[in-house]
Amino acid sequence: MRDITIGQYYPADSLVHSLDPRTKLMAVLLYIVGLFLVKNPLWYIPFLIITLTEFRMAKVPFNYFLKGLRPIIILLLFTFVFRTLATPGDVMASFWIFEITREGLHKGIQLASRIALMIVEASLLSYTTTPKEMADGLAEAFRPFKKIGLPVDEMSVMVMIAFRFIPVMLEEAGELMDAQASRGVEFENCSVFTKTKNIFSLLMPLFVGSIERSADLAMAMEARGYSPGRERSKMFPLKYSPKDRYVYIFSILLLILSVIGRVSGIL
Amino acid sequence: MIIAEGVKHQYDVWQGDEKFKRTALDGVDLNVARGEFLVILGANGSGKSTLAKHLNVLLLPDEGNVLVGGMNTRDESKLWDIRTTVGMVFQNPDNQIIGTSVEEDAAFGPENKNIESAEIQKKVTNSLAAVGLLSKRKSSPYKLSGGQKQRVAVAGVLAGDSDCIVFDEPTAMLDPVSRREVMDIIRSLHEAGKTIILITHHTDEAASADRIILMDRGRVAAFGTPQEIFSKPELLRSVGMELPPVAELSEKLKAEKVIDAGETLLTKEDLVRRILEKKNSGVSIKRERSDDADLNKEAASDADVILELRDLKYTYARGTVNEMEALKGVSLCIHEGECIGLIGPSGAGKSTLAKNLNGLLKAESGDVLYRGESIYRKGFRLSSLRKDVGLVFQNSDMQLFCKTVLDDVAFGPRRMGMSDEEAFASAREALLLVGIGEEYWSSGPVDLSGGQKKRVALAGVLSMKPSVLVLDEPAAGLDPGMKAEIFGIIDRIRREKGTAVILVSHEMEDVARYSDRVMLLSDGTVKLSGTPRELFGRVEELRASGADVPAVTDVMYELDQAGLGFDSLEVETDAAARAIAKAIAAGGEKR
Repeated sequence: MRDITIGQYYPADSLVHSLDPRTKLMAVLLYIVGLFLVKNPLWYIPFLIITLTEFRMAKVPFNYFLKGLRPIIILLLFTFVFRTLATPGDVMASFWIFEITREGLHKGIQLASRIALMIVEASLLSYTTTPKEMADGLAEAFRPFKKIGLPVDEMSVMVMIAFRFIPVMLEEAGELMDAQASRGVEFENCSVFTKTKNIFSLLMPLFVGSIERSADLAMAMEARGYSPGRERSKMFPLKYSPKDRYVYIFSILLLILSVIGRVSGIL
Repeated sequence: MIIAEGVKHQYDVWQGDEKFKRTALDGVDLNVARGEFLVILGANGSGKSTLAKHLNVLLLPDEGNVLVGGMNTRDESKLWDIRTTVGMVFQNPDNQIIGTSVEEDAAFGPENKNIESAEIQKKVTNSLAAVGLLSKRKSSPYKLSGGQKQRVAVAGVLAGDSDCIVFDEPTAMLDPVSRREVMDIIRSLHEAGKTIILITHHTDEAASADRIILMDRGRVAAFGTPQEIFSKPELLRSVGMELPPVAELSEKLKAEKVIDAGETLLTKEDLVRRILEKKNSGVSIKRERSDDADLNKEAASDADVILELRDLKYTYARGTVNEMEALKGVSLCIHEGECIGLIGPSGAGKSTLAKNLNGLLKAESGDVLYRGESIYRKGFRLSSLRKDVGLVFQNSDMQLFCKTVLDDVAFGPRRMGMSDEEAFASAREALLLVGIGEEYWSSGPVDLSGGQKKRVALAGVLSMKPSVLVLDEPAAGLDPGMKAEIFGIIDRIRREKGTAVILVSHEMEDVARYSDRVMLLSDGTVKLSGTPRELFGRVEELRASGADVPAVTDVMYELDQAGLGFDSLEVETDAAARAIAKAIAAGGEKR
């Protein structure tokens, strides 16, 4: 579990890191919309080039992403194989009960590349945006809904705490597993059913532990002057700079091109 | 600055469906002056943390009043002012850091006060500089050591402009290096004019305070300077505390007539200076010769080998960005009935080694032989190994997961294939062995105190009747009384059952006192090993590897450096006192 680099911040001093999180969120959203407009997998190549350029600009080594990719590859392979085999059409090859069709191959490649590019792009967002920025960005994006009673600021604190405690909880789960395994609970060398059952039995102590932790945390927050609903300021308030404008323009341009391409049937 | 008058506080305690009140504070008076360094000392459950929570309105007194800078904590309009004045650092670093990066956490307090961004940035920078973490400002708290995390918590309080900082057992979960880091920060804050209130049960941390309040069962048992408090050893013992090691040595040296009666020396520097004065005055000290028999037992070399590690190597997450070589070739033999102390800084591979002993982790290369048989051999039953090599983890909350104490302790043996009858018989025996009486057997583990949880967790492993017991920090967070109890139990198990013990600990005094052999693990390899006396004599090497030596050894080392010659450095107070007396006498005779 620890090997997954997706979703972890990669500190670096780069143009992409310094962009406003709202800009990045919007750009990723438009990029994904663009991906869904594409039909011919060949057109994913420009998207890939854009992403690679972004990695370069963000000073995040692409290797860092690839090393964390392992758990995702299974998902991609499964998607590809399933789509390839399950689509009817011109049969190119067949063996046993399976048939590979031209349409299937096309669909398989299309779907797998789409998912892969989505994951790469979303990963880049998480590499270059701290959870705090992400939370603030989301809160700002939802700011208009505050009028109808959405607790936007509290949600942003909640998101931050969630990010903060994911690794802590993972570590705790590992400790629990070790403690139980030392007393005879099997997590390896047993049937999938037993394994699942035993992993579920971890949930209760983990839950009790996190309730105790949340009581502690609430006390610490209170001691430091936090009170829900009270006005809070920010160390680094979100502020657009000229760079953000260029990114917006570029993203919207990309979307328009994709829409034109789709409507005219090129993509 | 802070005044408490007749503060009483009761908690609601549930036992089954019945609610009753437990008195935590029973009329406490307190007066803290501005700029003072006050230590609140007391055993677990003496009410010291409850008292601390009254100082920044996390709790309100049932009776009596608490005044902070003239503001009564009952006055709701002053709530935020009081919390600004008095900041708090808690015991568990993980449960008080809110930010996902160091600087975000430091900014949390100022942000809550809704002050301007530029101002927050300045405060955060200054406070991080004050705790020496400016270079880590963008780091994730998750990647920091325990000591660094506590320093982040301190920075958070500093950024909130508190004049007074309350530390609630800030070092309870830290290794020696981190402990020193945090104590240094506390002292430098005191020098910078902050009012410090430190809650602890480590008497050595209390030695540098201006004043000490000794708490016992919700009351103030004594009150005075460290000199005054530590010159009353009987009083300390009656409330479950002990003398700090240096003070104990100075008491012993009084008995040996090396230093004058009437004063208690509390710091290493003072004691070393005083002894050296004696040496230089050239006064020959009359002392009866006593035989300095070597009290150290030899390692049980001919006894049966239970477990043998051969050149064990282990790497976490190989092939990923988080790849970390934890063990780089460790060999070790564990004989029946012996106690091996395992020391080394955090991250040296101690836990990884422990988990390799019962097959929780599988080594990359090397071999583990259990009674001569490789545990990696095909067909080897790991469950029999896990029954025989019992691991007791540091955090006992993690180990207790059944509904009742008895069920929990019987869990292991039932899993290991004993019949219910046998399992419960074994569980009862184990519970009695660790001193948990029948009245607790049907209560939930959650309702137990910290010390009781530790003992139940230990019983849960003992009920499997292991022949090797691996203990990870068995005394962490326990006061001296409970600690002595736990080690008493461990000693008895060794003697009665011949169980081998591996003691993983940051407390050098404990390791020196209870181990037959000590191993220093550093950077994934065994750097040093030997009897406690052999090993702790190598002060420089230990320090270079991030470990430490017992306080009495440290005093002898300083004396040795200053020219008072010793044959070897001692680890026990009595032996150290005798050796110092002997060296002084020899120096005197030469003149």
